[in-house]
Amino acid sequence: AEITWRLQSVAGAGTTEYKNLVERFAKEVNQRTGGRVEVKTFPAGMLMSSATVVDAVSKGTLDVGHTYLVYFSGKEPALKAVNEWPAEVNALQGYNWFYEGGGSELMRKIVARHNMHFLGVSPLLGEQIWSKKPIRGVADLKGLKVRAAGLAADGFAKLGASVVALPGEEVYTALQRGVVDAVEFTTMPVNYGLGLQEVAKFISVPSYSGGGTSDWIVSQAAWNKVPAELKPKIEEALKVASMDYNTSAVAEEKELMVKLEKSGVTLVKWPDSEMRKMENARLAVMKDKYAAESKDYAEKLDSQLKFLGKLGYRVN
Amino acid sequence: MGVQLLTVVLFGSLFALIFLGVPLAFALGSVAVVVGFFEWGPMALHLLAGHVKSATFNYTLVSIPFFMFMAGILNKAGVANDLYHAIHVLFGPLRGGLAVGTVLACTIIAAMSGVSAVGVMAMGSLALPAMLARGYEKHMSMGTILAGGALGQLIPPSVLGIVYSGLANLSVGQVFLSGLMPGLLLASLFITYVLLKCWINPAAGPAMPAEERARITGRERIASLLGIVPMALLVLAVLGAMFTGIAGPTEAAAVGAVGSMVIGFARRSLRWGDIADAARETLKSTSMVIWIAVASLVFVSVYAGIGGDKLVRSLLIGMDLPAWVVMTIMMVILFLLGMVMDPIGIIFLTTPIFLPIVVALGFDPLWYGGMLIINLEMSYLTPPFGYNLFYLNSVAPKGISMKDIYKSTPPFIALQGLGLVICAFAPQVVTWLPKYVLGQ
Amino acid sequence: MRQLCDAIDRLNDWVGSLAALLILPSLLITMIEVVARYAFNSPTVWVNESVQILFGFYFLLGGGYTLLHGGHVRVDLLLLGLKPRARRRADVIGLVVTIFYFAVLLWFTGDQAIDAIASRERAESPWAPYIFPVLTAAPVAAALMLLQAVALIVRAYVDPTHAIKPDNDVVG
Ligand code: NA
Ligand code: NA
Repeated sequence: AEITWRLQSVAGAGTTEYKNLVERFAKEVNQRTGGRVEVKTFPAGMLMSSATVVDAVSKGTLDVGHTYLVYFSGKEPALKAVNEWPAEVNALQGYNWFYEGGGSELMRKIVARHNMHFLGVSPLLGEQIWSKKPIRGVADLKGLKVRAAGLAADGFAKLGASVVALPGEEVYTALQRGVVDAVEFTTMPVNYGLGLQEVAKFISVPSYSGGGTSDWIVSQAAWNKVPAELKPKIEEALKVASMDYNTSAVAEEKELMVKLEKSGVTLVKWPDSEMRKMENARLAVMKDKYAAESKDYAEKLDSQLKFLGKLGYRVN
Repeated sequence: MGVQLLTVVLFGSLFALIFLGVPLAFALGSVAVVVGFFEWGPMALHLLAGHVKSATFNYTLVSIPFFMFMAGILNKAGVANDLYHAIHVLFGPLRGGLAVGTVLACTIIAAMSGVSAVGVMAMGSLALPAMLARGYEKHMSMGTILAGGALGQLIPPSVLGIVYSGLANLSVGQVFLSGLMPGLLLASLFITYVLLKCWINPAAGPAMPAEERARITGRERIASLLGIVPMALLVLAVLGAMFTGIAGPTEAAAVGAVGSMVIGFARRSLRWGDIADAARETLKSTSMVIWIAVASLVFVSVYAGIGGDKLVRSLLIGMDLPAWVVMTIMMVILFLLGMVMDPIGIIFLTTPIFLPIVVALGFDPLWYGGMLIINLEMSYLTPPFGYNLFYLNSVAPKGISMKDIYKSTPPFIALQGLGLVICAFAPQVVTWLPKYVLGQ
Repeated sequence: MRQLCDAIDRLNDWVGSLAALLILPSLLITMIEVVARYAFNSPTVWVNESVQILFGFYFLLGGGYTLLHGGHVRVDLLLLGLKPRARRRADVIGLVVTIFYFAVLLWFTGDQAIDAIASRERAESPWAPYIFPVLTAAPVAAALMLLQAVALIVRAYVDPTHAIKPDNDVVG
């Protein structure tokens, strides 16, 4: 191949996301560029920890990162909660905002400051609260010991929860032994793969963080070396892989819910009124905390909320 | 250069530097840096900074200094003296009893310490002179201490278990529990060996003479048993904190470290100066281990980045060998690495490459973790580089040479190997307890 | 030359002795978290991260001290059979390799630290503490180790009679 890229993903080896999204992307790129671009993919943690992937792309160590840009928000506050939305109107809102709602222009400008090209995004399944006792609404979050990170952590804290920061590998034991009562960790398939359903018999649905995205970034140097006629083909490859992955991910999540209920896990359905309270708490964090720290963030949030409005969501 | 050739260059120069006496951390790091520069590009060297950053923010690694500090305090305060005394009184009358008691003491110490040094250094300074004075065969005496001490990394808590669980994304609790039954299995193998050997050859471990036995009063027996209480409390505090959910593994290590200071002060055997000494020793061991971990991670990143992980996978899986043959090959590789490398470094180095293969072959990562740690038990004893050999050498009485220590290891390495084979044929030894307790 | 070497030794001894004491506050605040969470059911948001940051300073700044006191473990079996002169040559080769590694480490952790300082880098967490100071400790540590390795090589090659004895009390 003319160009060989190294890519590390945030998806673990053996996950549907890695196979149907990441490896699929590599295959599509290879086919669509007639073999001129080859992408060597590595699962989460193979070359470096997930938290340092964005650093590595900005330094050119990795050519491509499939990651969450929020990992870079310690350096660039505009990227706080970049993958998350206050509310889900539809599962593809983040994806559509990026490609059609002005998201790519806004985000590429920010990311370009750090020597990276923001190639695109993929839809991401939402997260739920997995708990040892039923959490039926925001009132139950008061005083709850919950493991969380990012916007979820700030949102839960705003609702009165005691947020504990725990590394991923301690989540299972911490739940099992009651170090925490509940966790926000990651998507349903990944949580299921870790066996969290064995120690958390209640899952609050629907997801409070649906409609988000994972991010694809390319080091600026690597992107500049791609011949102009191949760039649209690579972008195309990502869209195709993303859409196909989304179909399989949604199906996988539905199947898992049935499987979980059969195995004795209770899906605790939150009424719309409670979901609204959660959304408001998250939105307040975004407006009062994140937007106050970064003009770019404020601009991005404004654009996202306008986009949600167009989809029929009434922003409080 | 092809990946095959690069593999030879990478590992060839690594071992050349190791045998030249270059510290492990810098041998690993410099080889990775040079190969990364030429085969990946100058920007690959940012990996070094990235892995330093990751190590800094890896919460589970914090348990390492805590466990090491606890080890230092326990040794300085002589907390194991009472334990040893009790075992001496209880098991002395038995043929080979002191060696059996040494293994039992190591087993109890292992249940509160996450490293191997406590057992080796405590028993090396207490039990070894006592056994030698009674005419115990010296190689058998030293072997029980070396192998018994290594149980500290198999019986929970265990630093190796913490490191593996972090890399394999398994729960630390499960990994810990997976080591308990294999640990007890190894302990019983060592005891069986000692008893058989002394039964065949009574001179190897003569029983306590009758007149000495007669001199031990009932009161002394009870007093010696009471001496175990602080140790038992410490075991309860560390394991109890963890398994009742009061504390995570890193926190449990802190509980153990603070608890051992409390016991040391209560016994009036710990001075403030000891704490400063233990702190400095802990710094050295921790810094060494973390710099090895960083370098191992850079090494494995570079190797995977130039296609090494795919090469290993295609060699091990692509040839359509039966799964157990592949597992055997991996175990042999681990054993060989264990001769020249630090066990924590080995876990960092091999897990990212081996674990996907383990999963692809349909093995349980929890079972593999158990096998990995049992295998690395041997690395504490195999020359030229074996921590327990160095520890014992540092506390052994005059007249014991490094050569004597080396010569004491083969039967015990064989017993550890036997334990590994048993767990290969009966994987339940590893996996039953965690699955039962944690309800899978 | 000898004075310079001694000064480097003293510097690392001093930095190491200070860094070593960081274990005590780390233990203390970890215990605070256990008590806060278990006894008062109110976990703190700052404990884990502050212990982590202390741990970073701890192992980083301890590197030079560890090198000074021969704590970086190695396989010296083959060296034991060598004559003192040959042994010293092997030591020098080892130190040259080590110095090369530290130089690379200094360069790249330095680059990382410059970025961290420029952006006032924080942790990506609810508490969001500044982490640029601990990231800056990395090149400082690399420099301390580099200096120490130079001091050791000077001793081994130029001034072999002035060697310090490595000790054997490393725990692992
Ligand atoms: Na242990
Ligand atoms: Na060894």
